[in-house]
Amino acid sequence: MMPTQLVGQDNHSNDVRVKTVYSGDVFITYINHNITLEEFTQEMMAICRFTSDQVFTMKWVDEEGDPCTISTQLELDEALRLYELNRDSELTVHGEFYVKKITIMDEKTLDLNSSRCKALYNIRFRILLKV
Amino acid sequence: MSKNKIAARIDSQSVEVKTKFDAEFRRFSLSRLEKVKYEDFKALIEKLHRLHDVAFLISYTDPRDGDLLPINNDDNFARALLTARPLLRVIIQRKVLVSFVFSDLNYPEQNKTQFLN
Repeated sequence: MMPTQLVGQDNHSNDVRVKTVYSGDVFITYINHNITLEEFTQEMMAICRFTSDQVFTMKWVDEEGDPCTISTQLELDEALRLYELNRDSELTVHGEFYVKKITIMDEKTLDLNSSRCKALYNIRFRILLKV
Repeated sequence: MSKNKIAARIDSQSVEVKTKFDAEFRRFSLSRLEKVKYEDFKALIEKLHRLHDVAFLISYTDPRDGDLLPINNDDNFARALLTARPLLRVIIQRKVLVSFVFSDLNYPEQNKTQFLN
């Protein structure tokens, strides 16, 4: 299965592309950049098939490589704002089933123009599917 | 990141804040226009990092020389916000309680307990 168009294309220009890698599967979803924390949490729970009693932590990796915890709307808004500032990157969600933790990874693509970005994305996507 | 994007971050009306407590990082933005007070900022830190029963100190890293400077009143908080270009790095530390036991020929043994920092 080949990946669809990258962020920035017209039909999804207001949405944030989220790649969720969990338990060996890869899911591509789009979320609105105005999403509430509750909606986002529900989305992650649905993707990873968590039950409502399962406790998990969401983190995203910033441009300095540090995992930043998201537990309030303020922090989710900041993660999405910085994602939009670095629009060449993808927002990737990793699920670690053995510790029941979701990590949202922001891929670093600092110097890449969009065609190289697409090429790298294709390679990453294929590698992840093989796992 | 392109120069336009870096310029967009610095020109904005927001201060990006990145806080660290133990191994946990959190990021959020504060509006420069809202003139947040120190007490409000401290309450926000307490809420985000769940420090309701913990005595803590707030410091920030001066981007010019790397010094760790305190934030404990409105003045140094306002100064900290001005140094953010655009990121304000905040370090949160637990207050450490240290006990001293003094023993001297002239003075009876005394216990003194105080905060180390």
